[in-house]
Amino acid sequence: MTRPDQTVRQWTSAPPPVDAARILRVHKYTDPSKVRPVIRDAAEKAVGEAAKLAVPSAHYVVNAIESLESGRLRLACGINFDCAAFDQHLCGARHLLAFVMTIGPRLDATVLSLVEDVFEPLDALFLETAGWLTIEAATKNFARHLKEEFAAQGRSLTLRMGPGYDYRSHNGGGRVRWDLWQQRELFQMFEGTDLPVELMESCAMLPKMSRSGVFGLIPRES
Amino acid sequence: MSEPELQIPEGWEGRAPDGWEWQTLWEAVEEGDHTYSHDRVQQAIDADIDPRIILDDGLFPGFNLQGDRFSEQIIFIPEMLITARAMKAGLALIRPLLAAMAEKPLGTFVMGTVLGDMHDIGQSIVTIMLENAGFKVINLGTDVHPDRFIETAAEEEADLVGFSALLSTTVYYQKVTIEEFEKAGHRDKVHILIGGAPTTQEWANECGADGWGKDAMEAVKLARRLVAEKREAWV
Repeated sequence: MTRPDQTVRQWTSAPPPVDAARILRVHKYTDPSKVRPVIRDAAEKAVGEAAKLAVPSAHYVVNAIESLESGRLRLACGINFDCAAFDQHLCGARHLLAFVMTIGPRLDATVLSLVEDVFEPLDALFLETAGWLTIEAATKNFARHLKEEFAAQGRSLTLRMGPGYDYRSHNGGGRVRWDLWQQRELFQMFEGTDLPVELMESCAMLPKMSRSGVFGLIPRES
Repeated sequence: MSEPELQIPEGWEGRAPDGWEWQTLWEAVEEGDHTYSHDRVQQAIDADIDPRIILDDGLFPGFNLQGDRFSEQIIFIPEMLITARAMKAGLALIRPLLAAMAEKPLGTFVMGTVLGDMHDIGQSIVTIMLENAGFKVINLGTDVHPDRFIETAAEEEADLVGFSALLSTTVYYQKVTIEEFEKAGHRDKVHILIGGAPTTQEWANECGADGWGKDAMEAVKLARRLVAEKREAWV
């Protein structure tokens, strides 16, 4: 197997702002005026903590697609991915961009400490939610950055896909899953890079607040 | 939707010293005032009230009221966690006393998130609620291999085992872990509960679990019921 032909690049950003009202909505409080002050205060505190603890960063690498047929994607570096939804969602892509993103380990550690050391379970719950909202927002910002970067090269991005997620497939119209175990192949694309995210044997990622995935890169003329 | 009412323990006056009142502790647990809960339980200990009575007459009414409100969706998990903190502040004082009196826990519960899943907040909440309800809980944390569940359940002579999974990709390991319990010959020695966002009663049936905890309070109710059934079966 040959190494990916492109260098691994890194993107970093300030933590995106998270809204306390959004945290409350996640926990079923649809009317902020009816939320007890102690709970509203805890949500606001979590927003502040997440902004202090989260350090969004992404590593990404691009590799040429050799072929895409019947759900099998072959990359020039020798790595293959399989998912029946590729034919539809990566249609027209000539390159594949793989990324691994995290907001770092400090938020995970603080959530754990809030439960185990000081027993503040509400603060732990809201901080975890704030972390989740932070990485979701950071992933969107990262995609926006990529869109601009590759637009300058005359390329556009496909839908984001990731191992372990379900996708609609044209073949039969049902939903198909990109097998989680292919996280291993995705991480192989970063071989030799000191990533801030560890892939566990079970294919879960540490820190917990991490995301991985791919985008197809489509030349504009196509 | 009916508003649950505080279930005042029948005959509590007869189990407390003259002039004693529990109302303020019931309200403190309900409202999540952990400082008052701690102080009032300490006063009850100093007044030589039996720790079991402090638990049943002093702490449980407010906790159960909030549990009923949660079941009716009048309050949500954050309120339950505030109540849990107040409950725990009092429990921390009486638990060693109960242990010294050789009071047995309601049951022993081995809890963890299945292999491949790093999510811990959900199972931590269930652990808190089970402990507050009187269970001894051994929390194995996240990414737990089936063998570790089996070994711990055997060592601790657990009554119940709970598998949490928060990812659609890891719920499969709930089934795998149950199968491993069967292979190890330990399946009929424990009740197995599953829970987590992607799980359903249908999935619980399919994977061979004894019950599905829709949420933390449902898990507590289910655990109480299964333990009671197990005790009845022995009699």
